[in-house]
Amino acid sequence: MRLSVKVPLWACAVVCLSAADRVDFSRDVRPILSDRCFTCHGPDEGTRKAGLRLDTEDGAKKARGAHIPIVPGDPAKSEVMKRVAPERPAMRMPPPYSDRKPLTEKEVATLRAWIEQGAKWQSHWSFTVPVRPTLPEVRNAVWARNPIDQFVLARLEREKLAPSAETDRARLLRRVTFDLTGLPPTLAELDAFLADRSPDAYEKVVDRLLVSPRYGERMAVDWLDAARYADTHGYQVDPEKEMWPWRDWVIDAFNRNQPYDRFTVEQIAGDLLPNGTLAQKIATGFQRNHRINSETGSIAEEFQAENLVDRVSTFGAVWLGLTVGCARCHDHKYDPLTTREFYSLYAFFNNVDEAGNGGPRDGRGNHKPYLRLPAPELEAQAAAKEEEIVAARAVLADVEKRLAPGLGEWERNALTHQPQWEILRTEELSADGGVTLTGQADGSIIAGGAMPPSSIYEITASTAMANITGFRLELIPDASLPGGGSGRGVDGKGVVTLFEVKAGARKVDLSRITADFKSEESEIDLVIRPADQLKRGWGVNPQMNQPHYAVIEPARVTAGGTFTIRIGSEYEGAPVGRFRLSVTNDEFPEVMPEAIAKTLRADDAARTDKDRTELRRYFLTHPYDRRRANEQVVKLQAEKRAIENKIPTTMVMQEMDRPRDTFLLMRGQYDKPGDQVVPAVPAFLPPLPAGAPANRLTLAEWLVDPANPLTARVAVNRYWQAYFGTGLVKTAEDFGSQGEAPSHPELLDWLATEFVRTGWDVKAMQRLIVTSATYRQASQASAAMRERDPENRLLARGPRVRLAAEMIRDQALSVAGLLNDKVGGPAVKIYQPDGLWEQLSAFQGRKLFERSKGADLWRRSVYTYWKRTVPPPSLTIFDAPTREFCVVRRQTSSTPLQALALLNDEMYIEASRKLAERMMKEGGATDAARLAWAFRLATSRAASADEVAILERGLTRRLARYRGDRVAAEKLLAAGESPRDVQLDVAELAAYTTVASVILNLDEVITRQ
Amino acid sequence: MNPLRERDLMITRRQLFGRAVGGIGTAALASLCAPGAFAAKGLPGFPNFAPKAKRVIYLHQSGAPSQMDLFDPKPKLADRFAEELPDSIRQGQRLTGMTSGQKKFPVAPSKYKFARYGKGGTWMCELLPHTAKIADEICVVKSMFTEAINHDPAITFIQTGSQVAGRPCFGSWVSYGLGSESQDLPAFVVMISRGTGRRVDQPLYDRLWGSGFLPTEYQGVKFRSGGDPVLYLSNPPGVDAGVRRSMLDDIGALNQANLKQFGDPEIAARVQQYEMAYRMQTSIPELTDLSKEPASTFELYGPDARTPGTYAANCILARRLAERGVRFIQLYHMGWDHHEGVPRQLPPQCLDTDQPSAALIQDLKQRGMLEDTLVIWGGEFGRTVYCQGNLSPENYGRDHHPRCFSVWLAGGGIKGGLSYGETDDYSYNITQNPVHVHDLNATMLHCLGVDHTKLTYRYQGRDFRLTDVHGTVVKDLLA
Repeated sequence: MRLSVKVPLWACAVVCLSAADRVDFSRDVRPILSDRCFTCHGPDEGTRKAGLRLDTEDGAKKARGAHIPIVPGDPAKSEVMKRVAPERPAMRMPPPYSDRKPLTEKEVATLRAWIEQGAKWQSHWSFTVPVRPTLPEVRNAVWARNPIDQFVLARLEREKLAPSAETDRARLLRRVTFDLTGLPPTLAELDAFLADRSPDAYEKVVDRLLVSPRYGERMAVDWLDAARYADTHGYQVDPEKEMWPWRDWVIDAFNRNQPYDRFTVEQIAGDLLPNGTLAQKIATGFQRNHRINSETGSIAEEFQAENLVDRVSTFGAVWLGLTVGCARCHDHKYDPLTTREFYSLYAFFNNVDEAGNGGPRDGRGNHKPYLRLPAPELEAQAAAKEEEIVAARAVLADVEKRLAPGLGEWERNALTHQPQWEILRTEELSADGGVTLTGQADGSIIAGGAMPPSSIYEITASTAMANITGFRLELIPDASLPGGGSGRGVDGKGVVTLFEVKAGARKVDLSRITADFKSEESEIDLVIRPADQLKRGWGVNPQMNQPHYAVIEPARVTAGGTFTIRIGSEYEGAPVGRFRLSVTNDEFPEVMPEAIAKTLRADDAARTDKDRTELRRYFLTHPYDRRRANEQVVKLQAEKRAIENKIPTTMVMQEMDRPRDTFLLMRGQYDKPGDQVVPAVPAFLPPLPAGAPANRLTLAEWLVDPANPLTARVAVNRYWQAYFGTGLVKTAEDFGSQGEAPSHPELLDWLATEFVRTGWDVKAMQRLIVTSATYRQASQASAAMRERDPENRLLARGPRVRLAAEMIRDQALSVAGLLNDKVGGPAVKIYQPDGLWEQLSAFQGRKLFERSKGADLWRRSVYTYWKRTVPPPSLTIFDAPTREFCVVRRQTSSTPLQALALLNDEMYIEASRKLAERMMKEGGATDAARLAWAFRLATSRAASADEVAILERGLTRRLARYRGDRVAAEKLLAAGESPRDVQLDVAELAAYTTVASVILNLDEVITRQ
Repeated sequence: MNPLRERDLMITRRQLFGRAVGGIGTAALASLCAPGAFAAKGLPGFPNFAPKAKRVIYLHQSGAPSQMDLFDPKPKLADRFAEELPDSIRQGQRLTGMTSGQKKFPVAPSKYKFARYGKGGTWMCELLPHTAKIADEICVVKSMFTEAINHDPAITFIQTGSQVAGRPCFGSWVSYGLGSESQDLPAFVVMISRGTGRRVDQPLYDRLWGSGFLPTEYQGVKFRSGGDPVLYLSNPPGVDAGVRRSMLDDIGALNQANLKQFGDPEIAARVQQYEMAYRMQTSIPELTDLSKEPASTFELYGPDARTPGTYAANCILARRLAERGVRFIQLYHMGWDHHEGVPRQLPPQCLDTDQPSAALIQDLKQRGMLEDTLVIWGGEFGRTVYCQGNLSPENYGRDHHPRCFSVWLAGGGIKGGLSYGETDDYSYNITQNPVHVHDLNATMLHCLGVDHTKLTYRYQGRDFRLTDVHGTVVKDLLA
């Protein structure tokens, strides 16, 4: 069925224009001008046409030669009217070649009426400070429970509509419990509420919920979206980082009801507060949550700019509700924000000692600047380790002192010294890719057979020698190889790409490789430190016809016995041909570096001090005693590092001593700096206090000054959105000219001023909203009402909103009795299908995702590990964002993938099984009682007889099925890590599990209604 | 249709058109009135004009293939081996952090032989013997260019028209605008394969097929070769079709009861999603089961075709998805990022992709589907003529090069046998007919009957589109 486009736009009219109103500039006219005219006749000077601007009163009413764009009271004389509804189409504005649509007849009429009524101009509503409105008169005064209701009711009465009745108590409890804690009420909480007939029973519930630690976890989720919080840095490399201390700070801030102004100041400038606490510094992590691109080859300056743009855009969206990022490349098209002003905001955030592409990461994955968190126990361990290191260093110094006198003798013999090599006794030979290895009488090995692009040779061999200090790999020419060389490639080329040693199952750490000769192309270090990207190593081109050798030294003197040695021949077309392996216990096994040999060859008189120091150092590093003493130091240092790396860190803001210069970037491009700019706020907003330093702290205090017209409005609007699904301003991210006008402007302003009046009391604001009669309405609606106001913008009914992703999962865990209510700490990796990270990763065949274990699988979703490039699908399927960029308004979609996830995800099968166990144990004696019990647990209301009958019929049908196939039942019950109650009958539990799954899939269950 | 649902859907349509001022309405509408649920209907007024192509198969070669080793021969360079790249060519353009520190920029001529193929005499290298056979079907654009120089921004740019994360990819735009033709498959499907040329590939990220600010239902659905082809598709162990159907019946009955009480069309939509999910459980396994394909199919697509998860197997799936009305099918083949060892890494990449890509074109053609399927093959940027790392006649590496690269297009609306655009003697700068990424995307939409300036979505107060405020349809490429 094809749908007509010509459907009247009355749904919007419901909200925007009510009957018999005077035309209001802000509400009715400015949106038209903004949408159709400002692109060419707005704030952006760069693209302004004909020098005409219609975003200022001056521009719109000043005569331009013979024409005046707008003549108050006289539409006929107003040039604008002649152009938006012209006699000749060629005159029409916006012009046909632009991408702006012509004005509708209704819009033309609005414009005409406004001019007729005197063309009264107002600045954009959200750019003027909200003035606390007086409460409107209402007829049905008894309905209103608080001022919110008076505003809502006044509007409804104007529309000749009545509010809905209060929803039933059970649904109300479920609604408010989800809204304030993100979880469903327990049955005990439900019973207690239903039994409490006191007039303030509901308010008592609200107060109980507001002090629950679950409240902070629920409130944090929206803030984490806005702050683009995640556990990895994002971009294609997407390495891990550690920011959960910041996340825990947020949860705690909500729970201790930190006022919103302080919450704001600390996250923007906690590091600049006098005597700032550790917590206040952690709070600045908000500004470091953005992605950081450490892709090889990325240009630091480019991503410094990207990071700053993100910081400023996020700042704009979260606190000002403005799309400031639009002014990165050109003046804002709709709002009076110039590019210069954008970079002036940018300058506030540009004084951090950071690298655009991250630079080095600490042991926790963080880029500087970061704070190490107090960890007394670990710090004590590290300090103890340091003492051991000091002692070990002293031993080392003693050893060196003792050895020093031997230097002279060594110098005399060093050039002629030859280590004694013992050829390894080959026990087993193998190679992949069809290569064959054959041992020879002289202990060497010859490769033959297939010539695959890459092959690894594996040799198991043994020695009776102890204290191994070196492995020797010889490449030996052989007549059977091409050109009589030592390799199987063209002209006998052979390249070693890998040398790995295992003693038993233990890998032997290798410290150095040296060779008597190497080709120019060789990258010999890669042999013992293979790079995934570069399969190169040691070759002897052009001397393939001569024997050569390389010496590979273990990091520690190694016991003898049996070794498994892997030799890589992965350089395509040049596999190793004939080779031999030996070992030595000589203190000087390696090929002497040319610099040392040169010094030794020279007369003592010709040696510089540096030469002598080098020589001495070279000598001293070799003797066994010194090696052992040094190994001890190195080992202890590694242990200390490992301890220190356990201490959590978190990225923060920290000003540099000398501020970085900031330049306007032409067209937003990092490599096109224009004029230098200094930190400043946009001119259309109140100025910074005179004399205050232009830094982040001043900026933050400016935001929360009651004179700022946006901050409070934007914040309360987001709270409203959290409860009603849609904000009073639907475009929560845009309060600018192109944003949607508020459905209830007076209510918004009243809430904003109330928020400031109460000292930005966040919990009080939540309490105010959820105790309103507006919030408490039933969400059922007649077809007529739904038609009249499909999006419920008039608020004649209560909210009916699908649960957020986190709530859906947390609810399942909760009703299953699995929920682990531990607060805070490192993120956990929840159930997800195998191979998701691996499929997209750079590294084939490497296991990357390690699921958390036990109780960590059942933590609240706010603690779920968030990998930005592959976020957890069970949550993103329900519209959780990737957290790569700021989101202040989530999508709510409805897709079949959601059905599949809820029906089939292991996590939900497990939850269904645990819920089934509870049904059988706690739900009563009969099937009907148990089903009704579970239904009530999940919906908070009693099931109807019909509903129970449907569930019971399904149970019976599937019970018969599982009684006949207990193997299938066992399989179903095997899902998830939580133990199964083996006392319960398998078939019965399986059947109940399917019913539990049915319940968890109900629309009502994943909705608060 | 049952009268209750009919009523609710009618309401929905109207209310949503009411909302359509902001764009969201029409989007949500499409999902609600869909017989399937993945945005079946598309936007009113779309396509804007008679389309040449109904669907797109986009064969993205991730990592960026080397244009002068495949499609853009520069024979004169043979004499310039290891010569320094002239400043007059380089013109001080920026380089990546991987080679900007190199002291020398020696010219690395391609070691491969080129010949001309087809009536149009399209140049191709010896590594593409199968693509050579379809020379008359494809249009090679040698004058593509982009703005980004590193993978993440570049692949994000080519897919979304912006280097900055957060905008919808073209697959999402197309399914948003045109909807789906399938009752039981998503409108936008993504498949990924690993290259054999390079062990460490450029990674990919879910965002690349994400819907950005468009509603989530427009994001690409990833088909996987291991485990469930679509996440959570299979019933859990111990739940057979009968049990599942019985559960769905119960869910449906209870949801209907709730719908009666609340009248919220979202409930009706959810009921449909469960039915769609159920259909997908049959349709997708049927789709991904290649066992009934005749031997000739596997011969056509080559030896890898029988191995699930390979590019060849994905090409067969792409054809099967196209047959079933899927609107946008996106393949990614990893492993083209050849900073070093081009001669070692490029041949296996070509072996992976040459025959299956050509087979796909031939297969579509023999089924009469090439004329309404647009196929695009290409990476996110090109590679440098100068050598990264060590240079020998047999071995060279190439860094990222945004200033020119080659892609090919075929099928619905495209002029076959055409070579378009020219680069200078170093394949460094474009000398004729430059085609920007936005132009390519505008052209793709044009083939689908979409005016790229009209496919917009209001977000943050602005009407966003795939081509930002740019893009020109490259008419020369059109049949």
